[in-house]
Amino acid sequence: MPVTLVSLDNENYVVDKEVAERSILIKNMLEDVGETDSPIPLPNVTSTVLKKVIEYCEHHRNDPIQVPDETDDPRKRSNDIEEWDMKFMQVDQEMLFEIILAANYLDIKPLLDVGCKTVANIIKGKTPEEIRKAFNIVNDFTPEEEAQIRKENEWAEDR
Amino acid sequence: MESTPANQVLAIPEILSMIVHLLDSGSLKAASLVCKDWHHHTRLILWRQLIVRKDWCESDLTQLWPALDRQGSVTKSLSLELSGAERLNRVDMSLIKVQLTSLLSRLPNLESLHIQFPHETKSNIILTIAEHATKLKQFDTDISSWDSNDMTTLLRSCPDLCYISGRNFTSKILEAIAVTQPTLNRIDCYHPQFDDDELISFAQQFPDLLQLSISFHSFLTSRALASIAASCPKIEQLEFHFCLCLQSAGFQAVFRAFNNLRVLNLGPSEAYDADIALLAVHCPNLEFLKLPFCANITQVGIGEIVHSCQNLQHLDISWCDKIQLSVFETETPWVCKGLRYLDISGISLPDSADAPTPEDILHCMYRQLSLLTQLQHLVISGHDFSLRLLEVGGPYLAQLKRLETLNISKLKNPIPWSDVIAIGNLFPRLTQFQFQCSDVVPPLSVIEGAAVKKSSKVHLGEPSESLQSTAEASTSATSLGATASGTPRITSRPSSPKRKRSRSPSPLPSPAPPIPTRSISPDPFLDQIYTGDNNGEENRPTSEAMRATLNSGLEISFQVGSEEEEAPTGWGVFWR
Repeated sequence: MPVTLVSLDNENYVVDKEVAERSILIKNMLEDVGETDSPIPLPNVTSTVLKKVIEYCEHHRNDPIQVPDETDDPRKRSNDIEEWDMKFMQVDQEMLFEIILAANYLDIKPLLDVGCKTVANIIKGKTPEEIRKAFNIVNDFTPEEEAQIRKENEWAEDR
Repeated sequence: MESTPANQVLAIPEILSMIVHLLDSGSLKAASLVCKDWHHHTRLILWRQLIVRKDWCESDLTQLWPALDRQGSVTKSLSLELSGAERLNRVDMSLIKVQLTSLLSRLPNLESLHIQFPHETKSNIILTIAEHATKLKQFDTDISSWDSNDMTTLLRSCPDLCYISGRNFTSKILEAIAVTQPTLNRIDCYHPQFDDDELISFAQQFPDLLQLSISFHSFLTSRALASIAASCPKIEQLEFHFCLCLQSAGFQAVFRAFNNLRVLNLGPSEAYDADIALLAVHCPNLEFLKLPFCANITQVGIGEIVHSCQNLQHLDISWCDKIQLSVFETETPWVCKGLRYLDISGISLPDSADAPTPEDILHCMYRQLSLLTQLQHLVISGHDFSLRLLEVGGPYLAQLKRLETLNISKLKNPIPWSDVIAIGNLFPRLTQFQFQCSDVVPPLSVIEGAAVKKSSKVHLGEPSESLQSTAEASTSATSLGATASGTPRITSRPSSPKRKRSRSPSPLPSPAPPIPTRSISPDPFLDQIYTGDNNGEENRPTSEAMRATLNSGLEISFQVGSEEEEAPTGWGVFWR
């Protein structure tokens, strides 16, 4: 049964239920209301982003539901982005963060993961100043605080 | 400026936390300096584990105290390490006490403590630990002389302690543990002093035991194993390392009983194929299997494992003399598709008359390997046949896109430097690549260059001989990109340049001989190529270093022109 999703700017998207239910938010909503034809408003997501998210959910419609693997060190897996996902994430930075926001709002954990991995890969190898610049972050340290952390970090775990 | 999508995302604590958890240590440190919010998230990771690697007893750690005063509450795990030489030092015990107190009093939430002491340290130092580290869950030390009263004190002060690892435990120590800590569920005994009956009685008091590890017990017998099999059915981690009196009856009893076994280390041991076959049947959840130097096991036993244990992630069958390459021969793929670590060092060719020709069997091996697409670590060193890594293996090995470390040391025939580079370039994620100088034929131009430098000394007829080098040119993985593994390195002096140490899993445990110090200079640089001991030989030719940067960003190098004999490797020396 198809489901109609409505973006912030009132665009309608008709997708398979199975695709829409990649979003736990939508899945729960559908379970709550039961069988319904009425469109589902997604007031936090613009049509450009929603289109992108639907593209992701279409591609991953048959993926098994993700089970968190406790034995895996999440930090070892940062490069583990599937080829398709990698290409999917080749968007400008504003879109990347829009997708992450949407994934967070719609509760699509695998998409959120891929988004975070992509951001982590952007951070890698950058200096603190480059990171601030990349993400428009204000440095709220005093020079003394910064020097202190720099000094402490020399002792911190190096792995 | 406010409220770009980036700002919105990074203001969500859960998301920022997810992102910083994905960073390597270098990026993590950079991230900690971005702003206060980022520092809050990164410090939880940066200070979770503290390692003092260099002579913690006597080093001046005063600069560490202010850092710990601010960050120490986050630290859950502390490792205090000594080198072999430092362990032999005589150290003033009162100094150790002061140092320990200074450290532990600043780490109020410590849960895991690994601590190495100078050789003569007595167990009463434990009182200092018991006083401060009352939240310990795991404790691991190398104290060799234990008083059971000290053990009791420790256990009374640390009610949460559930894992203990130590040396020379006697039956009195076992009794002390059984009386004071009935909730303990993991124990690791190195060179223990208890006998079969004492271990049996201990096991009977711990029906919920999850881990039993025993190494270097020279008279533990299968009778004890049979009893443990009955007393502790929940065991999931079992290690008998150098317990050479154990026999099939004991192994079979535990394999039958421990259906939840996930980790098994039996190297070296007297286990046979029949035992391993039972393991394959009864322990389908096995994830980690180490059988190095098991001289009775053949490809038949290992075949059972790789065709039934689907969850296997780590398989070490190195230097098992009877395992032949035909373990790869079957048409059916191995079922352990998630294998991440494989060590098949020293595997040999089939010697039966109807065996396929080596080329066929090499294809079989590489084909099976190519199906293990999750593989991250591969050790295929030391064979008595030519691996033909590039010409036969190349197309198959190129499937191993996740490979991070590769060890091909001690090849039967040395291969050209250009081939070494080509092999390294098969793997886009390689961060460590080990081979020895004797495995490499340098380019002709370099041979000639070396020949000129050595003037009359070189015999051009046998280049591989004259070019053999000592430096175990295990390409110290000098990192170029963010890809490098970032070898753990916490020195007691911040940022002192220090030789990288490999922490790759070794089948032989801690008592490895001290690493010979090759360099006299106190601060060898990371990428220094060791020229070997200066053993008085005069007019040594200058060594040539060949370098290359692989596609993965890894820089590899080896040294041409040293004339010393090949340095003994840690393996052989220790075992033989």
